[in-house]
Amino acid sequence: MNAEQQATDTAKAVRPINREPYQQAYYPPVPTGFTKHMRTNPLWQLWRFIVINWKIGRLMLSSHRSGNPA
Amino acid sequence: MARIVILGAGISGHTAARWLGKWLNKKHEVIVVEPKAKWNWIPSNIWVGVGEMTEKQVTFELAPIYKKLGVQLHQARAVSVHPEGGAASDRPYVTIEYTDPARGGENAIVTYDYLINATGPKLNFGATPGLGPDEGYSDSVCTPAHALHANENLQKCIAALKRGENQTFIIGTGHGMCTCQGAAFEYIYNVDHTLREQGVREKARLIWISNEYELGDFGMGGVHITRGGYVTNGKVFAESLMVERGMEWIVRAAVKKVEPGKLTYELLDGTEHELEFDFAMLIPPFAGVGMKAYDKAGEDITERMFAPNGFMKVDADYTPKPYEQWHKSDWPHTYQTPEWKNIFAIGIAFAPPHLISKPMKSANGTPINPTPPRTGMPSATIGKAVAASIRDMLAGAPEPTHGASMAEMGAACVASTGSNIFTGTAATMTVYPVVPDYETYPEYGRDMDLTFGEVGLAGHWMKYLLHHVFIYQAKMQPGWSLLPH
Repeated sequence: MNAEQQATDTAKAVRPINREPYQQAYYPPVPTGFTKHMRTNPLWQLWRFIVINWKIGRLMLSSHRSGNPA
Repeated sequence: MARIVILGAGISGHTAARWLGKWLNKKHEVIVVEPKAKWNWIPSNIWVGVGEMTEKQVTFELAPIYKKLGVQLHQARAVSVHPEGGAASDRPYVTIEYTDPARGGENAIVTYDYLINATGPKLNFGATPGLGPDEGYSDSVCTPAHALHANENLQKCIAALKRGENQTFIIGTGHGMCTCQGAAFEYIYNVDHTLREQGVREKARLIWISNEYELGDFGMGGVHITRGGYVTNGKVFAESLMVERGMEWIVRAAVKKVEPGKLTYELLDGTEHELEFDFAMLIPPFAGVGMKAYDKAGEDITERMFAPNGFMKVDADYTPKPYEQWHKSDWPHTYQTPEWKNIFAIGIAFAPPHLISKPMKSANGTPINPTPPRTGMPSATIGKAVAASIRDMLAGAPEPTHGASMAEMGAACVASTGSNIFTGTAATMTVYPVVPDYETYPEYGRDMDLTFGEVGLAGHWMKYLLHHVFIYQAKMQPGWSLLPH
């Protein structure tokens, strides 16, 4: 085995093969590429803008019906 | 002609002043006492803190607005309340100290027929040694000046990153009993976004630190939302966003001390730890502004009027009780003080009956739990309700006519997670009600139809739009009264 091959083998030996589990970042869900893309997709977000405003409007109406002024 | 005095022109006080000015139409006198010459749209200070906005974009001069409205403005801070009159007058009055440079340090009394305490919070940096930009070693985004300073330090760190140096950023709450986690949450994501835009995110370590039991608590005991076919606690989404953006988080923490480049914190298990930083933005805990109260004879009655934290007692149930016995009826409706029927406290100035999140103490007895948030929407709603009550009481109503309990109203929060018209995002969240009501909603304490959350560009557009809408409204531009709070 030449020196170059030995160095490569040594490097492979110290590089962890498995990701360290049970750390803080191991468990929470992470969005897929598609989900992240849709977060800034203008057409989809235009629809979400309408929906969000509608939901907030309903929230304010419900608060108003509870005796709180809008 | 009656005189209504409003102490403070923040979101709540200014809302009350606008509506009273409009409804009373100079039939009665409205006076505002406010230490600062300018109004500040505080939610946008985050963007000042990352250099996305200037101080001018988040503030405007109050005097011309009040002049147009026929409201008198005294640029002063309120010092004491004399609800029964006193040596200076037989009528109830407040003592004030001018902060207006033309009358700096001068004292005066202002008599009133109705008083609205809308003094907001004292930013209690002193509660943690070394906290804060003025006399400490950390930054804040609570005022425009603080946010500008934070951005200066942020830019220095960006320059260091560009030179190839690693930098550690710590952002969160600077005391075990802070509220306003939402502001810090927005700021850490905007810092992340800024670092990515600058191409230097790789060498930056971002750490969140807060007194929440779990991420996503925000002082409201957390929230459940329906998404992706599941009812999920906000903790999951908050952690997801942290992992997505490569951040670390420390919760259940009370920052005990801040030194140059280092902070010490205690965890709920009683252990103490240190963290080194190159940049730290830590929200301070809030307290009342420190007004005193005196009776007619000049005896100190501060304890009758104010809770130990300096916030004013109103029509809440302040009976000490364990978490298991908390009830929505504990929360105030009319914000009228129980002893003095012509005094009200609104916005952050009223004393909540207790926390919303479950109280927690460390093994050493240190309280480590968020205190209740009083965000913009509830604060403005409460301000308008009290203005309406006073209007009606002036017309002969024997009692306040309007209520605005946080256990019966919702709130919408839009937390920016990066500003850009095409690539920006924000987390939009609504909760109904703000204070969980397990009697009406036994499972999750909230209406699951009206409680929701999502992250996206639409949220950023909302936040940007709201910035302009609320400043337009606050400046009383045409049609302002048609805009929602």
